[in-house]
Amino acid sequence: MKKRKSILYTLTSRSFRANGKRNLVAVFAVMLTTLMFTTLFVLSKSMEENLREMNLKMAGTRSHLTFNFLSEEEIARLTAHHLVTDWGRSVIVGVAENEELTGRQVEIRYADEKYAESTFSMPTTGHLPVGADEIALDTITLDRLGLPYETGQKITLRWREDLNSGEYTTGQFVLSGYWEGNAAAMASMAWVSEAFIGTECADIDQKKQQAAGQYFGTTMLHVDVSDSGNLERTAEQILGDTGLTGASYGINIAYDSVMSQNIIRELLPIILCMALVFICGYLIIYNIFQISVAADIRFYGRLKTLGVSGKQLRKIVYGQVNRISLIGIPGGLALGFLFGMVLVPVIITGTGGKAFVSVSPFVFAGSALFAYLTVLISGRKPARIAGKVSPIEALRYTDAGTQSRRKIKKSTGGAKIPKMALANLGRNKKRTVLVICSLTLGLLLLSVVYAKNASFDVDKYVSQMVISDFEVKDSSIATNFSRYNPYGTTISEELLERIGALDGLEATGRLYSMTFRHSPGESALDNIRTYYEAEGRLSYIEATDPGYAESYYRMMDRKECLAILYGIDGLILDTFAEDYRMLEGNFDREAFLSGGYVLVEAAGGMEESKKETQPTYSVGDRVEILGTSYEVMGIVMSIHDITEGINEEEEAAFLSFYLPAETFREMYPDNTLRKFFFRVKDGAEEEAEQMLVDYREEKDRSLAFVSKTTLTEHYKEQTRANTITGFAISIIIALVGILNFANSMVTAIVSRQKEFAVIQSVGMTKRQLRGMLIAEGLFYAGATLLFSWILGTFAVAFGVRAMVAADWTATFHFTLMPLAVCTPMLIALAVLIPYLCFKNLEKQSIVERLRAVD
Amino acid sequence: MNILTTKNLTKQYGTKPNIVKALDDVNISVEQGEFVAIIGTSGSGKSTLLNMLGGLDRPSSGSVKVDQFELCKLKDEDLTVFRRQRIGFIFQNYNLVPVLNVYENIVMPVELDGKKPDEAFIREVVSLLGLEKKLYYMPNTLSGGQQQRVAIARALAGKPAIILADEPTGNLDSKTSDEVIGLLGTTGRMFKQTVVMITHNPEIAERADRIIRIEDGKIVNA
Repeated sequence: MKKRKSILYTLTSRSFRANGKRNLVAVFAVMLTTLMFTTLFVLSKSMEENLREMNLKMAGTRSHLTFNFLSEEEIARLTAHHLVTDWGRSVIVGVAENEELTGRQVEIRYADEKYAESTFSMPTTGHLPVGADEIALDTITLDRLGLPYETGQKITLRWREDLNSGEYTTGQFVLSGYWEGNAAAMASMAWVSEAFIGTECADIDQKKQQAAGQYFGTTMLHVDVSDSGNLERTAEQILGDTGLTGASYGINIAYDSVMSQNIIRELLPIILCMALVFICGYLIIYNIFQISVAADIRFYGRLKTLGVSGKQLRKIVYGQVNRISLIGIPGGLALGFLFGMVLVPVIITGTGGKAFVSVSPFVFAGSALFAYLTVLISGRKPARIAGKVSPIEALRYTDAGTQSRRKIKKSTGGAKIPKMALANLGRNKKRTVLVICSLTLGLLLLSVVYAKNASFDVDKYVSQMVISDFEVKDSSIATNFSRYNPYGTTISEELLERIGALDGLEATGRLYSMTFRHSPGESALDNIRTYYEAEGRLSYIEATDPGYAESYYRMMDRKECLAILYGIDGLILDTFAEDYRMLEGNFDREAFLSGGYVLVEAAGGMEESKKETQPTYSVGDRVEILGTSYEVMGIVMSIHDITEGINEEEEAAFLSFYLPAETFREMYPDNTLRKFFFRVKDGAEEEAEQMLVDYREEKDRSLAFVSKTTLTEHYKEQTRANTITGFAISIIIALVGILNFANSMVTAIVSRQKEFAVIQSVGMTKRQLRGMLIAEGLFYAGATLLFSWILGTFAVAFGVRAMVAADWTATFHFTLMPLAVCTPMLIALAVLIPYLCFKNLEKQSIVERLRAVD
Repeated sequence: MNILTTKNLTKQYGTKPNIVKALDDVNISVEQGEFVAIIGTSGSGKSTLLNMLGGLDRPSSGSVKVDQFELCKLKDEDLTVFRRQRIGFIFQNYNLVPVLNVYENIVMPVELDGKKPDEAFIREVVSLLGLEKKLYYMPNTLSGGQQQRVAIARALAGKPAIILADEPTGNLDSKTSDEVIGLLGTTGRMFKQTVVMITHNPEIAERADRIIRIEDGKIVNA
């Protein structure tokens, strides 16, 4: 048995080596296919890992579970549990409340090494504090404090030990180390030493502090467990086993299964791409194998005559296929990985921190497997053809196929060169179709990606997102983690003066807000009650948002609720003038500003349809707000993007009212601006932005502003991923198509050497032969272009238009730019390849070629 | 004992109205150990007949029986196995596998069958054919006569029931032809092999024990 294997092996490996040049093309095709798979896998896996990392960074920790308020003895008991694989400990001192740090929570704590690492807050320069006066901070905090990145400098922080008192403790520290801040997390860490807490917060009773709602001196334990599957159950089990049931704990939401599902959804387009890569890989590899087998068919026939069975022949073909894969796949993996390394950082941006390229073994195993599967499937039919070859027919078999189904060809045109060329293409219709498909696929994809991309309309996107060139907001609403401070100082008189002094200032808009207790009145309450009691809305809210339900019951009980009053003018009024913002009533700007009118925001039910809103007041109703009566002018849509931010009260606000800014000022003269919007003349944007940046540098480091330019940048970054992946893949597919085209052309010419010799011997001149070959190439290119233009027109005119219609940030433009660019290139290739082949052919004389034995 | 018989063997090519009868009701038989020459002009159907005998092609009607095996009853795959076990082929263009050396070419059919070649026997055949010094040469380094001798060695190596030679001297000059036919006859006799050879050359045919003449697909005299 061993011997038989050896002769087949010898046959396989020697005939593989004998066909070096041809196999090179196959290896190249396999390499390209693997390259595409690897790139896809590297991208998707990197995307997934970066997304997970981003989620972890947003959660602020890598650890699975957090336990609070545990005594030293309890910590020892808990960490001894068999499910706990690793743990880190921290002791809270307080939150730094320096002026400069408004808008950013800086938590002063002690942490051990493991805890610092798991919160992405390990000093990269310097070290964790050791001495009682040492402290380590992140760069975000240093920036806020306006300090350079230098260890050894003095740091002053103040905090409250008792959160209920106004008494501040001030600490003087020396910076022992710092690290790159994690902007995605809701808080920065400020590490103090164990020595510091040893003296400051010794003898703190954890349980007493917990009961008092205080944090000073309390412990926080980060724990990793062996299985991140069901963390809630694991936490309960650990607490139960250690007799600590009821202890306060938290789960890292980044490990939540809902998050993982989101990650999977992001991967769906990748699966689509994989199918495309497979089809494109199949089209070329199949064609190459088909050509190889056709060229070797006499050899196979001869072997069969000598007693090589069909099964053994298939083995020989597969043996060659495997050898091609063995060279092509590792090469493709390496290239694909390099390609991925270049693409990943371009594609993954804005995830907070640098993107990293996944080196997961899954990437390589997966791509290798998919590439090999593609090769195997492509090799199946050619192997079957080789196996089935009849020894007699093999001697007559030609790749081009000489049998014609036509019995008679009525043509008196004679043997004209172009006609002959066309007829030659018809000799192997399958291959012609295959090559045209392969080329068309690439061109089509390129056109669609380009058209889709060209339809992105940044202006449209931005105009929906912001109502002005710039908006400045109070630092308390700049993050999603702090509550709005109605007396904030960010938008100061000085800032407003500087804005007012801008050269190109065109228009401004003010936004004030204040929560107040409001008695809606019987009819409004009835309306609200009817709404919530219908269709089980209340029970749904109870299940999903208990806090909101509680507010609802309190409102019904006391006949009053928390409401929010906005004071608006200028640019914000313009948005209400837009039809779709007004759900009921008509907006009359003059009347509104003259006083006596109020706008009521519709709440609830918005998701279902614009009209089905929670009924409260109707147009024309009179509402009493803080002792004054107003007439309802209209019901308006919520303007989230404009009013964004968490309100100052914990209780949910049920109703929102809009009054003119001046009226608001009279009611609440001490309130400062929540947001300020302003528009400048075209061309003045840069100057305005520079003014804001300067102001931030000089006066207030907590100043937060949004400009149209930064938003545009942000948007472009967001869409870059799709664009680049799309282009990369379609360009490679187009490349594969061209390789397929070139290979088919070359083999078609080489395999017909003898035939050409025959035609030449009966009088075709070199010029005519060359003309015929070039005509063949041109027909190929012509057919491809014809299909690409027709299909491309349809795909762009209907497919892309439909895609774009669903996207509110896009405007459809019909374009077939890539085809226009590719057309001359393809025609040039169609002339060049036959021309070069012919040059090569010419080297042998007609007689030599006529005599050539196969 | 007849090792080979054909019964009403007919082979047609093409479709109406252009049917060509390459073989028309051929009945022949060959005895064990016989050296038979089939002679005919080009287009007479002699190659078709040989292909039928070797199971390379299937008849339109009639049957071929080799060593108890009814060829048309065998499936393609079984026919291949039958061929490598019972038939030794010698072709006009030698049909050596270019990527294998002389020795590998000789033992290939045996090894394909999963058997170990009979080394002593092969050594005997090789020395008889004068190929000892050429064993590790590649086919393209050999002369036509030498290549045909390798083909004879290959045909003999598997100790087949019958050797079929298709114009074995067609590509050789007359001196070499003489030599090759001599070797074919000698080895046949020495190893008690049945040899069926087709040729268009009456002089070559004369060297056989018996001559079968074929014309327009029909046996003229048996």
